[in-house]
Amino acid sequence: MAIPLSITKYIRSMWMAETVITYLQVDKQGNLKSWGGHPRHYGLSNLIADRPATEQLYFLEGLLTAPHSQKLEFVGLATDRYAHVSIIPTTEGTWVLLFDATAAHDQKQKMQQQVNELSLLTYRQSQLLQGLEATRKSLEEEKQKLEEVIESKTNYISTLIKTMQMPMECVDGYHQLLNKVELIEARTTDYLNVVKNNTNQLLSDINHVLDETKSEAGQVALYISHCEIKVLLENLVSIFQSVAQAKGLLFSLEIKENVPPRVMLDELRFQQILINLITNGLKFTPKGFVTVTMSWEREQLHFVVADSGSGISSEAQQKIFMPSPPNTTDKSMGLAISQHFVKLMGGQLTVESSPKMGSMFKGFVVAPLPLGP
Amino acid sequence: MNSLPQLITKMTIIQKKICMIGDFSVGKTSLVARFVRQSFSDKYLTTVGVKIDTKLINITDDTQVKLILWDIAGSDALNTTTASYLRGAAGYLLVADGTRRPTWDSALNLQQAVSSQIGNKPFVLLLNKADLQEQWEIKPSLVEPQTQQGWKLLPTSAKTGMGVEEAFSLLAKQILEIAT
Repeated sequence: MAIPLSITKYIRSMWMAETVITYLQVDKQGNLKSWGGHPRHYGLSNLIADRPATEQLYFLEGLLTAPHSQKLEFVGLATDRYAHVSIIPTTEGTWVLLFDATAAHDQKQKMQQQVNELSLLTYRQSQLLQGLEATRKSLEEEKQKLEEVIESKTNYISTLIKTMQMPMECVDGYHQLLNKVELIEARTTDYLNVVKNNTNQLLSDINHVLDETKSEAGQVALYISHCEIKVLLENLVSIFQSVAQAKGLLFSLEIKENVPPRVMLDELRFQQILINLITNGLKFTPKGFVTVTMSWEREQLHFVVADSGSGISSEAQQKIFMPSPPNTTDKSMGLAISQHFVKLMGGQLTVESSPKMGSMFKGFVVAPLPLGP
Repeated sequence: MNSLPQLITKMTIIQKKICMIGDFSVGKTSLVARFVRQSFSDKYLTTVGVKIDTKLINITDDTQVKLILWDIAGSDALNTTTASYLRGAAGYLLVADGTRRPTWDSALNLQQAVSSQIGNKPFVLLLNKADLQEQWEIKPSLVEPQTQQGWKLLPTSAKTGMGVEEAFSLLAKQILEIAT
Protein backbone atom coordinates (compact mmCIF):
# COMPACT_ATOMS: atom_id res chain seq x y z
CA MET A 1 0.00 0.00 0.00
CA ALA A 2 1.53 3.31 -1.10
CA ILE A 3 1.71 6.26 1.27
CA PRO A 4 -0.75 8.89 0.03
CA LEU A 5 0.84 12.13 -1.14
CA SER A 6 -0.95 14.22 1.51
CA ILE A 7 0.47 12.04 4.30
CA THR A 8 3.93 12.20 2.78
CA LYS A 9 3.79 16.00 2.65
CA TYR A 10 2.60 16.20 6.23
CA ILE A 11 5.36 13.89 7.45
CA ARG A 12 7.95 15.83 5.50
CA SER A 13 6.87 19.13 7.02
CA MET A 14 7.15 17.67 10.51
CA TRP A 15 10.48 16.06 9.61
CA MET A 16 11.77 19.45 8.63
CA ALA A 17 10.77 20.64 12.09
CA GLU A 18 13.13 17.98 13.50
CA THR A 19 10.32 16.10 15.17
CA VAL A 20 10.75 12.38 15.80
CA ILE A 21 8.00 10.74 13.80
CA THR A 22 6.42 7.32 13.95
CA TYR A 23 3.64 6.16 11.70
CA LEU A 24 1.30 3.20 11.84
CA GLN A 25 -1.09 2.01 9.21
CA VAL A 26 -4.33 0.20 10.04
CA ASP A 27 -6.60 -1.38 7.44
CA LYS A 28 -10.38 -1.14 7.16
CA GLN A 29 -10.78 -4.27 9.32
CA GLY A 30 -8.78 -2.69 12.14
CA ASN A 31 -5.67 -4.83 11.60
CA LEU A 32 -2.20 -3.34 11.80
CA LYS A 33 -0.71 -3.38 8.32
CA SER A 34 2.59 -1.57 8.52
CA TRP A 35 4.62 0.89 10.57
CA GLY A 36 7.71 3.03 10.38
CA GLY A 37 9.80 5.53 12.28
CA HIS A 38 10.46 4.82 15.94
CA PRO A 39 7.64 2.83 17.58
CA ARG A 40 10.08 1.62 20.27
CA HIS A 41 10.53 5.26 21.23
CA TYR A 42 7.01 4.95 22.73
CA GLY A 43 7.43 1.44 24.08
CA LEU A 44 5.57 0.00 21.08
CA SER A 45 7.57 -3.17 20.47
CA ASN A 46 6.77 -6.66 19.17
CA LEU A 47 4.26 -5.30 16.70
CA ILE A 48 2.67 -7.97 14.53
CA ALA A 49 1.19 -7.24 11.14
CA ASP A 50 -2.34 -8.37 10.27
CA ARG A 51 -3.35 -8.58 13.91
CA PRO A 52 -5.98 -6.24 15.49
CA ALA A 53 -4.37 -2.83 16.05
CA THR A 54 -6.19 -2.08 19.32
CA GLU A 55 -4.76 -5.27 20.91
CA GLN A 56 -1.25 -3.96 20.25
CA LEU A 57 -1.82 -0.22 20.43
CA TYR A 58 -4.19 0.16 23.37
CA PHE A 59 -4.53 3.88 23.01
CA LEU A 60 -6.39 3.35 19.72
CA GLU A 61 -9.32 1.68 21.54
CA GLY A 62 -12.50 3.41 20.42
CA LEU A 63 -10.67 5.82 18.11
CA LEU A 64 -10.54 3.99 14.76
CA THR A 65 -14.20 4.37 13.90
CA ALA A 66 -14.22 8.14 13.60
CA PRO A 67 -15.01 9.33 10.06
CA HIS A 68 -12.76 12.40 10.30
CA SER A 69 -9.22 13.24 11.40
CA GLN A 70 -8.45 13.54 15.07
CA LYS A 71 -5.54 15.21 16.75
CA LEU A 72 -4.68 14.37 20.34
CA GLU A 73 -2.08 16.52 22.08
CA PHE A 74 0.44 15.31 24.65
CA VAL A 75 -0.50 11.65 24.82
CA GLY A 76 1.68 9.78 27.33
CA LEU A 77 2.20 6.19 26.33
CA ALA A 78 3.70 3.36 28.33
CA THR A 79 7.08 5.06 28.63
CA ASP A 80 7.82 8.61 29.74
CA ARG A 81 7.50 9.76 26.14
CA TYR A 82 4.73 12.05 25.03
CA ALA A 83 3.45 12.43 21.50
CA HIS A 84 1.00 14.51 19.54
CA VAL A 85 -1.13 11.85 17.87
CA SER A 86 -2.85 12.36 14.54
CA ILE A 87 -5.41 9.78 13.43
CA ILE A 88 -6.24 10.22 9.76
CA PRO A 89 -8.89 8.06 8.07
CA THR A 90 -8.34 7.29 4.38
CA THR A 91 -10.24 5.19 1.84
CA GLU A 92 -7.96 2.24 2.58
CA GLY A 93 -7.96 2.43 6.37
CA THR A 94 -6.41 4.70 8.99
CA TRP A 95 -3.02 6.32 9.39
CA VAL A 96 -1.77 6.98 12.88
CA LEU A 97 1.07 9.46 13.22
CA LEU A 98 3.01 10.06 16.41
CA PHE A 99 5.05 13.26 16.69
CA ASP A 100 7.36 13.39 19.65
CA ALA A 101 6.30 16.13 22.06
CA THR A 102 8.23 15.04 25.15
CA ALA A 103 10.32 18.21 25.43
CA ALA A 104 7.30 20.48 24.92
CA HIS A 105 5.35 18.39 27.44
CA ASP A 106 8.05 18.65 30.10
CA GLN A 107 8.27 22.41 29.65
CA LYS A 108 4.51 22.84 29.83
CA GLN A 109 4.36 20.48 32.81
CA LYS A 110 6.78 22.67 34.78
CA MET A 111 4.74 25.79 34.10
CA GLN A 112 1.42 24.11 34.86
CA GLN A 113 2.87 22.66 38.07
CA GLN A 114 3.70 26.16 39.31
CA VAL A 115 0.27 27.49 38.36
CA ASN A 116 -1.52 24.64 40.11
CA GLU A 117 0.64 24.78 43.24
CA LEU A 118 0.03 28.51 43.50
CA SER A 119 -3.68 27.97 43.07
CA LEU A 120 -3.67 25.31 45.82
CA LEU A 121 -1.70 27.61 48.12
CA THR A 122 -4.11 30.47 47.51
CA TYR A 123 -7.05 28.20 48.26
CA ARG A 124 -5.50 26.93 51.50
CA GLN A 125 -4.72 30.50 52.55
CA SER A 126 -8.26 31.63 51.86
CA GLN A 127 -9.60 28.67 53.88
CA LEU A 128 -7.22 29.59 56.71
CA LEU A 129 -8.42 33.19 56.65
CA GLN A 130 -12.03 32.03 56.70
CA GLY A 131 -11.20 29.88 59.71
CA LEU A 132 -9.57 32.81 61.47
CA GLU A 133 -12.55 35.01 60.69
CA ALA A 134 -14.89 32.38 62.14
CA THR A 135 -12.73 32.22 65.29
CA ARG A 136 -12.74 36.01 65.55
CA LYS A 137 -16.54 36.09 65.27
CA SER A 138 -16.86 33.40 67.88
CA LEU A 139 -14.55 35.31 70.24
CA GLU A 140 -16.52 38.49 69.57
CA GLU A 141 -19.71 36.68 70.57
CA GLU A 142 -18.03 35.34 73.71
CA LYS A 143 -16.83 38.85 74.55
CA GLN A 144 -20.34 40.18 74.07
CA LYS A 145 -21.72 37.53 76.44
CA LEU A 146 -19.00 38.29 78.97
CA GLU A 147 -19.76 42.00 78.83
CA GLU A 148 -23.41 41.24 79.46
CA VAL A 149 -22.43 39.14 82.49
CA ILE A 150 -20.17 41.95 83.80
CA GLU A 151 -22.90 44.52 83.28
CA SER A 152 -25.37 42.32 85.10
CA LYS A 153 -22.85 41.84 87.95
CA THR A 154 -22.20 45.60 88.12
CA ASN A 155 -25.89 46.35 88.32
CA TYR A 156 -26.31 43.77 91.06
CA ILE A 157 -23.39 45.12 93.11
CA SER A 158 -24.51 48.73 92.59
CA THR A 159 -27.96 47.87 93.91
CA LEU A 160 -26.48 45.96 96.83
CA ILE A 161 -24.17 48.84 97.76
CA LYS A 162 -26.94 51.40 97.56
CA THR A 163 -28.95 49.32 100.02
CA MET A 164 -25.85 49.22 102.30
CA GLN A 165 -25.15 52.94 101.99
CA MET A 166 -28.52 53.97 103.34
CA PRO A 167 -28.21 52.38 106.81
CA MET A 168 -24.55 53.50 107.00
CA GLU A 169 -25.54 57.09 106.30
CA CYS A 170 -28.23 56.71 108.93
CA VAL A 171 -25.62 55.61 111.49
CA ASP A 172 -23.48 58.59 110.47
CA GLY A 173 -26.41 60.97 110.92
CA TYR A 174 -27.22 59.67 114.40
CA HIS A 175 -23.53 59.97 115.32
CA GLN A 176 -23.60 63.64 114.41
CA LEU A 177 -26.77 64.13 116.44
CA LEU A 178 -25.18 62.42 119.44
CA ASN A 179 -22.14 64.72 119.16
CA LYS A 180 -24.46 67.69 119.56
CA VAL A 181 -25.93 66.33 122.80
CA GLU A 182 -24.59 68.36 125.69
CA LEU A 183 -23.05 66.94 128.86
CA ILE A 184 -21.97 63.82 127.10
CA GLU A 185 -19.38 61.81 128.99
CA ALA A 186 -15.75 61.89 127.78
CA ARG A 187 -15.68 58.08 127.54
CA THR A 188 -18.79 58.16 125.35
CA THR A 189 -17.07 60.68 123.07
CA ASP A 190 -14.21 58.24 122.62
CA TYR A 191 -16.64 55.47 121.77
CA LEU A 192 -18.41 57.78 119.31
CA ASN A 193 -15.08 58.61 117.63
CA VAL A 194 -14.41 54.90 117.19
CA VAL A 195 -17.89 54.50 115.67
CA LYS A 196 -17.18 57.51 113.41
CA ASN A 197 -13.81 56.18 112.22
CA ASN A 198 -15.18 52.75 111.51
CA THR A 199 -18.20 54.16 109.73
CA ASN A 200 -15.91 56.28 107.55
CA GLN A 201 -13.75 53.27 106.80
CA LEU A 202 -16.76 51.14 105.92
CA LEU A 203 -18.23 53.84 103.67
CA SER A 204 -14.87 54.26 101.98
CA ASP A 205 -14.59 50.48 101.42
CA ILE A 206 -18.10 50.34 100.00
CA ASN A 207 -17.22 53.17 97.58
CA HIS A 208 -14.07 51.32 96.52
CA VAL A 209 -16.05 48.21 95.68
CA LEU A 210 -18.53 50.29 93.72
CA ASP A 211 -15.80 52.14 91.83
CA GLU A 212 -13.81 49.01 91.06
CA THR A 213 -16.95 47.31 89.77
CA LYS A 214 -17.79 50.29 87.58
CA SER A 215 -14.19 50.52 86.45
CA GLU A 216 -14.23 46.85 85.34
CA ALA A 217 -17.35 47.56 83.33
CA GLY A 218 -15.82 50.77 81.96
CA GLN A 219 -18.68 52.81 83.40
CA VAL A 220 -16.76 55.41 85.40
CA ALA A 221 -17.63 58.87 84.14
CA LEU A 222 -16.14 62.16 85.33
CA TYR A 223 -18.26 65.02 86.63
CA ILE A 224 -16.19 68.17 86.15
CA SER A 225 -17.25 71.14 88.24
CA HIS A 226 -15.86 74.12 90.12
CA CYS A 227 -13.75 72.84 92.98
CA GLU A 228 -12.59 74.91 95.91
CA ILE A 229 -9.35 73.14 96.38
CA LYS A 230 -8.42 74.62 99.76
CA VAL A 231 -11.80 73.68 101.28
CA LEU A 232 -11.40 70.16 99.93
CA LEU A 233 -7.95 69.83 101.50
CA GLU A 234 -9.03 71.24 104.84
CA ASN A 235 -11.84 68.67 104.98
CA LEU A 236 -9.25 65.96 104.45
CA VAL A 237 -7.12 67.28 107.28
CA SER A 238 -10.13 67.24 109.62
CA ILE A 239 -10.86 63.64 108.67
CA PHE A 240 -7.32 62.31 109.08
CA GLN A 241 -5.86 64.49 111.84
CA SER A 242 -7.52 62.49 114.62
CA VAL A 243 -6.40 59.15 113.09
CA ALA A 244 -2.81 60.44 112.81
CA GLN A 245 -2.84 61.72 116.37
CA ALA A 246 -4.21 58.42 117.64
CA LYS A 247 -1.21 56.66 116.03
CA GLY A 248 1.22 59.34 117.25
CA LEU A 249 2.02 60.43 113.70
CA LEU A 250 2.62 63.90 112.35
CA PHE A 251 0.12 64.68 109.60
CA SER A 252 0.73 67.89 107.69
CA LEU A 253 -0.55 69.61 104.60
CA GLU A 254 1.36 72.14 102.49
CA ILE A 255 -0.43 74.14 99.82
CA LYS A 256 1.97 76.03 97.55
CA GLU A 257 1.15 79.64 96.75
CA ASN A 258 0.58 78.96 93.09
CA VAL A 259 -2.48 76.78 93.84
CA PRO A 260 -5.51 78.80 92.71
CA PRO A 261 -8.56 78.94 94.98
CA ARG A 262 -10.79 77.29 92.37
CA VAL A 263 -10.09 74.82 89.56
CA MET A 264 -12.19 72.65 87.28
CA LEU A 265 -12.12 68.94 88.15
CA ASP A 266 -14.16 66.01 89.40
CA GLU A 267 -14.01 66.92 93.04
CA LEU A 268 -15.36 63.63 94.38
CA ARG A 269 -12.88 61.50 92.38
CA PHE A 270 -9.94 63.75 93.24
CA GLN A 271 -10.85 63.60 96.90
CA GLN A 272 -11.05 59.84 96.66
CA ILE A 273 -7.55 59.65 95.12
CA LEU A 274 -6.11 61.65 98.03
CA ILE A 275 -8.10 59.68 100.65
CA ASN A 276 -6.72 56.42 99.23
CA LEU A 277 -3.12 57.67 99.25
CA ILE A 278 -3.35 59.21 102.74
CA THR A 279 -5.14 56.14 104.18
CA ASN A 280 -2.34 53.93 102.86
CA GLY A 281 0.32 56.29 104.21
CA LEU A 282 -1.20 56.29 107.68
CA LYS A 283 -1.80 52.55 107.60
CA PHE A 284 1.79 51.58 106.76
CA THR A 285 3.60 54.21 108.81
CA PRO A 286 4.19 53.01 112.38
CA LYS A 287 6.03 56.20 113.39
CA GLY A 288 7.10 59.48 111.87
CA PHE A 289 5.02 61.49 109.42
CA VAL A 290 2.62 61.61 106.54
CA THR A 291 2.70 64.83 104.50
CA VAL A 292 0.59 66.08 101.63
CA THR A 293 1.98 68.75 99.29
CA MET A 294 -0.12 70.44 96.66
CA SER A 295 1.03 72.68 93.80
CA TRP A 296 -0.45 73.94 90.49
CA GLU A 297 1.34 74.53 87.22
CA ARG A 298 0.22 74.82 83.58
CA GLU A 299 -3.35 73.78 84.35
CA GLN A 300 -2.20 70.72 86.25
CA LEU A 301 -2.79 70.12 89.92
CA HIS A 302 0.27 68.28 91.30
CA PHE A 303 0.21 66.34 94.54
CA VAL A 304 2.74 64.44 96.61
CA VAL A 305 1.82 62.14 99.49
CA ALA A 306 4.98 61.16 101.38
CA ASP A 307 5.42 59.03 104.47
CA SER A 308 8.18 57.65 106.66
CA GLY A 309 6.61 54.18 106.65
CA SER A 310 7.76 50.66 105.88
CA GLY A 311 8.31 51.37 102.19
CA ILE A 312 7.62 49.20 99.17
CA SER A 313 10.02 46.77 97.49
CA SER A 314 10.72 47.34 93.79
CA GLU A 315 9.01 44.01 93.05
CA ALA A 316 5.87 45.11 94.87
CA GLN A 317 5.97 48.48 93.09
CA GLN A 318 5.49 46.63 89.78
CA LYS A 319 2.14 45.29 91.00
CA ILE A 320 0.95 48.02 93.29
CA PHE A 321 -1.30 49.72 90.74
CA MET A 322 -2.75 46.48 89.39
CA PRO A 323 -6.30 45.54 90.38
CA SER A 324 -6.14 43.04 93.23
CA PRO A 325 -7.79 39.69 92.54
CA PRO A 326 -10.88 38.90 94.53
CA ASN A 327 -10.58 37.14 97.90
CA THR A 328 -7.08 38.45 98.60
CA THR A 329 -6.04 40.60 101.51
CA ASP A 330 -5.55 43.94 99.83
CA LYS A 331 -2.70 45.74 101.52
CA SER A 332 -2.87 48.75 99.26
CA MET A 333 -6.54 49.41 99.13
CA GLY A 334 -7.67 51.60 96.28
CA LEU A 335 -4.30 52.22 94.56
CA ALA A 336 -5.47 50.58 91.34
CA ILE A 337 -8.64 52.63 91.31
CA SER A 338 -6.67 55.78 92.17
CA GLN A 339 -4.39 55.14 89.22
CA HIS A 340 -7.44 54.59 87.03
CA PHE A 341 -9.04 57.87 88.18
CA VAL A 342 -5.79 59.81 87.69
CA LYS A 343 -5.54 58.54 84.11
CA LEU A 344 -9.19 59.36 83.49
CA MET A 345 -8.44 62.87 84.70
CA GLY A 346 -5.61 63.22 82.18
CA GLY A 347 -2.73 62.74 84.60
CA GLN A 348 -0.41 60.12 85.95
CA LEU A 349 0.52 58.58 89.26
CA THR A 350 3.91 57.13 90.21
CA VAL A 351 5.60 55.85 93.32
CA GLU A 352 9.14 56.21 94.63
CA SER A 353 10.00 53.98 97.54
CA SER A 354 12.39 51.50 99.07
CA PRO A 355 11.92 49.19 102.04
CA LYS A 356 12.14 50.93 105.45
CA MET A 357 12.78 54.28 103.74
CA GLY A 358 9.18 55.40 103.35
CA SER A 359 7.19 56.03 100.19
CA MET A 360 6.40 59.00 98.00
CA PHE A 361 3.37 58.93 95.71
CA LYS A 362 3.60 61.69 93.11
CA GLY A 363 0.95 62.57 90.62
CA PHE A 364 -1.04 65.18 88.83
CA VAL A 365 -4.45 65.70 87.28
CA VAL A 366 -5.62 68.19 84.67
CA ALA A 367 -7.31 71.04 86.52
CA PRO A 368 -7.78 74.20 84.44
CA LEU A 369 -8.92 77.50 85.85
CA PRO A 370 -12.65 78.15 85.60
CA LEU A 371 -13.79 80.37 82.74
CA GLY A 372 -15.21 83.71 83.77
CA PRO A 373 -15.34 85.14 87.30
CA MET B 1 -16.74 -37.64 26.30
CA ASN B 2 -19.62 -35.67 27.70
CA SER B 3 -19.01 -37.12 31.13
CA LEU B 4 -15.45 -35.67 31.31
CA PRO B 5 -15.10 -32.51 33.37
CA GLN B 6 -14.52 -29.27 31.52
CA LEU B 7 -10.91 -28.57 32.57
CA ILE B 8 -10.18 -25.60 30.37
CA THR B 9 -12.58 -22.69 30.33
CA LYS B 10 -12.23 -20.22 27.50
CA MET B 11 -11.52 -16.81 29.05
CA THR B 12 -13.15 -13.85 27.37
CA ILE B 13 -11.14 -10.63 27.44
CA ILE B 14 -13.03 -7.42 26.77
CA GLN B 15 -11.15 -4.18 26.22
CA LYS B 16 -12.70 -0.91 27.43
CA LYS B 17 -11.46 2.66 27.45
CA ILE B 18 -12.28 4.61 30.60
CA CYS B 19 -11.35 8.19 31.46
CA MET B 20 -10.36 9.83 34.72
CA ILE B 21 -12.13 13.20 34.96
CA GLY B 22 -11.91 15.88 37.65
CA ASP B 23 -10.38 19.15 38.80
CA PHE B 24 -6.61 19.42 39.24
CA SER B 25 -4.92 17.83 42.25
CA VAL B 26 -7.94 15.72 43.22
CA GLY B 27 -5.84 12.54 42.95
CA LYS B 28 -6.72 11.04 39.54
CA THR B 29 -3.12 10.05 38.75
CA SER B 30 -2.64 8.71 42.29
CA LEU B 31 -5.78 6.58 41.98
CA VAL B 32 -4.46 5.09 38.73
CA ALA B 33 -1.01 4.53 40.29
CA ARG B 34 -2.61 2.77 43.27
CA PHE B 35 -4.86 0.69 41.03
CA VAL B 36 -2.25 -0.28 38.40
CA ARG B 37 1.01 -0.35 40.38
CA GLN B 38 -0.15 -0.47 44.04
CA SER B 39 2.03 2.57 44.69
CA PHE B 40 1.49 6.02 46.16
CA SER B 41 3.51 9.21 46.39
CA ASP B 42 2.65 12.28 48.48
CA LYS B 43 4.41 14.50 45.94
CA TYR B 44 1.96 16.33 43.70
CA LEU B 45 2.88 16.14 40.01
CA THR B 46 0.58 17.92 37.59
CA THR B 47 -0.60 15.90 34.61
CA VAL B 48 -0.33 17.64 31.26
CA GLY B 49 -2.23 16.13 28.35
CA VAL B 50 -3.13 12.53 29.07
CA LYS B 51 -1.32 9.49 30.44
CA ILE B 52 -2.45 6.08 29.28
CA ASP B 53 -2.19 2.90 31.37
CA THR B 54 -3.79 -0.51 31.25
CA LYS B 55 -5.00 -2.96 33.83
CA LEU B 56 -6.58 -6.38 33.44
CA ILE B 57 -9.25 -7.22 36.00
CA ASN B 58 -11.46 -10.25 36.54
CA ILE B 59 -15.14 -9.47 36.43
CA THR B 60 -16.54 -12.99 36.49
CA ASP B 61 -14.96 -16.45 36.43
CA ASP B 62 -14.83 -16.39 32.67
CA THR B 63 -14.64 -12.69 31.90
CA GLN B 64 -11.72 -10.36 32.16
CA VAL B 65 -11.74 -6.71 31.24
CA LYS B 66 -8.68 -4.92 30.04
CA LEU B 67 -9.22 -1.33 31.15
CA ILE B 68 -7.46 1.27 29.03
CA LEU B 69 -7.14 4.10 31.56
CA TRP B 70 -6.94 7.62 30.21
CA ASP B 71 -5.72 9.82 33.03
CA ILE B 72 -6.68 13.24 31.71
CA ALA B 73 -5.13 16.52 32.93
CA GLY B 74 -7.25 18.04 35.70
CA SER B 75 -9.46 21.00 34.95
CA ASP B 76 -12.60 22.59 36.32
CA ALA B 77 -14.15 22.64 32.85
CA LEU B 78 -13.89 20.71 29.61
CA ASN B 79 -11.81 22.39 26.91
CA THR B 80 -11.22 21.36 23.30
CA THR B 81 -8.06 19.41 24.12
CA THR B 82 -9.49 17.45 27.04
CA ALA B 83 -12.74 16.85 25.14
CA SER B 84 -10.75 15.20 22.32
CA TYR B 85 -9.48 12.55 24.76
CA LEU B 86 -13.01 11.38 25.56
CA ARG B 87 -13.79 9.84 22.18
CA GLY B 88 -14.38 6.11 22.39
CA ALA B 89 -14.66 6.05 26.20
CA ALA B 90 -17.02 3.37 27.54
CA GLY B 91 -17.32 5.11 30.92
CA TYR B 92 -15.49 7.37 33.31
CA LEU B 93 -14.51 7.96 36.88
CA LEU B 94 -15.43 11.43 38.08
CA VAL B 95 -13.10 12.46 40.90
CA ALA B 96 -13.48 15.16 43.56
CA ASP B 97 -11.16 16.02 46.46
CA GLY B 98 -13.10 15.72 49.72
CA THR B 99 -10.92 18.38 51.32
CA ARG B 100 -11.73 21.03 48.66
CA ARG B 101 -15.37 21.96 48.25
CA PRO B 102 -14.90 23.66 44.82
CA THR B 103 -13.76 20.36 43.30
CA TRP B 104 -17.26 18.99 43.96
CA ASP B 105 -18.78 21.81 41.89
CA SER B 106 -16.20 21.13 39.18
CA ALA B 107 -17.16 17.43 39.17
CA LEU B 108 -20.83 18.32 38.67
CA ASN B 109 -20.00 20.72 35.83
CA LEU B 110 -17.65 18.23 34.21
CA GLN B 111 -20.26 15.45 34.38
CA GLN B 112 -22.68 17.58 32.38
CA ALA B 113 -20.00 18.58 29.89
CA VAL B 114 -18.80 14.97 29.41
CA SER B 115 -22.39 13.75 28.96
CA SER B 116 -23.02 16.28 26.25
CA GLN B 117 -19.73 15.29 24.60
CA ILE B 118 -19.92 11.47 24.60
CA GLY B 119 -23.50 10.75 25.63
CA ASN B 120 -24.92 9.04 28.66
CA LYS B 121 -22.04 6.73 29.61
CA PRO B 122 -21.66 4.94 32.95
CA PHE B 123 -19.64 6.76 35.58
CA VAL B 124 -18.79 6.53 39.26
CA LEU B 125 -18.13 9.63 41.37
CA LEU B 126 -15.18 9.22 43.72
CA LEU B 127 -14.70 11.38 46.80
CA ASN B 128 -10.97 10.99 47.14
CA LYS B 129 -8.59 11.69 50.07
CA ALA B 130 -10.81 9.79 52.51
CA ASP B 131 -7.72 9.41 54.72
CA LEU B 132 -8.03 13.15 55.48
CA GLN B 133 -11.64 12.86 56.62
CA GLU B 134 -11.16 15.42 59.41
CA GLN B 135 -10.36 18.07 56.77
CA TRP B 136 -13.33 17.27 54.57
CA GLU B 137 -15.33 20.17 53.19
CA ILE B 138 -17.69 17.98 51.16
CA LYS B 139 -20.41 17.13 53.66
CA PRO B 140 -23.02 14.35 53.31
CA SER B 141 -25.80 16.94 52.92
CA LEU B 142 -23.99 18.33 49.87
CA VAL B 143 -23.87 15.02 48.02
CA GLU B 144 -27.38 13.92 48.95
CA PRO B 145 -29.13 15.28 45.83
CA GLN B 146 -26.77 13.27 43.61
CA THR B 147 -27.16 10.04 45.59
CA GLN B 148 -30.93 10.51 45.41
CA GLN B 149 -30.60 10.78 41.63
CA GLY B 150 -29.00 7.35 41.70
CA TRP B 151 -25.39 8.41 41.18
CA LYS B 152 -22.83 5.92 42.41
CA LEU B 153 -20.59 7.64 44.95
CA LEU B 154 -17.59 6.06 46.63
CA PRO B 155 -15.15 7.46 49.19
CA THR B 156 -11.63 6.53 48.15
CA SER B 157 -8.08 7.01 49.31
CA ALA B 158 -5.24 6.56 46.87
CA LYS B 159 -2.95 6.80 49.90
CA THR B 160 -4.42 3.86 51.84
CA GLY B 161 -5.99 2.09 48.86
CA MET B 162 -9.44 2.36 50.42
CA GLY B 163 -12.20 1.92 47.82
CA VAL B 164 -9.83 2.03 44.84
CA GLU B 165 -10.24 -1.54 43.53
CA GLU B 166 -13.98 -1.31 44.23
CA ALA B 167 -14.27 1.91 42.22
CA PHE B 168 -12.68 0.54 39.06
CA SER B 169 -14.46 -2.78 39.43
CA LEU B 170 -17.83 -1.10 39.94
CA LEU B 171 -17.37 1.00 36.81
CA ALA B 172 -16.27 -2.03 34.78
CA LYS B 173 -19.38 -3.94 35.86
CA GLN B 174 -21.62 -1.01 35.00
CA ILE B 175 -20.04 -0.78 31.57
CA LEU B 176 -20.48 -4.50 30.93
CA GLU B 177 -24.09 -4.48 32.06
CA ILE B 178 -24.77 -1.74 29.56
CA ALA B 179 -22.75 -3.49 26.88
CA THR B 180 -24.53 -6.84 27.25
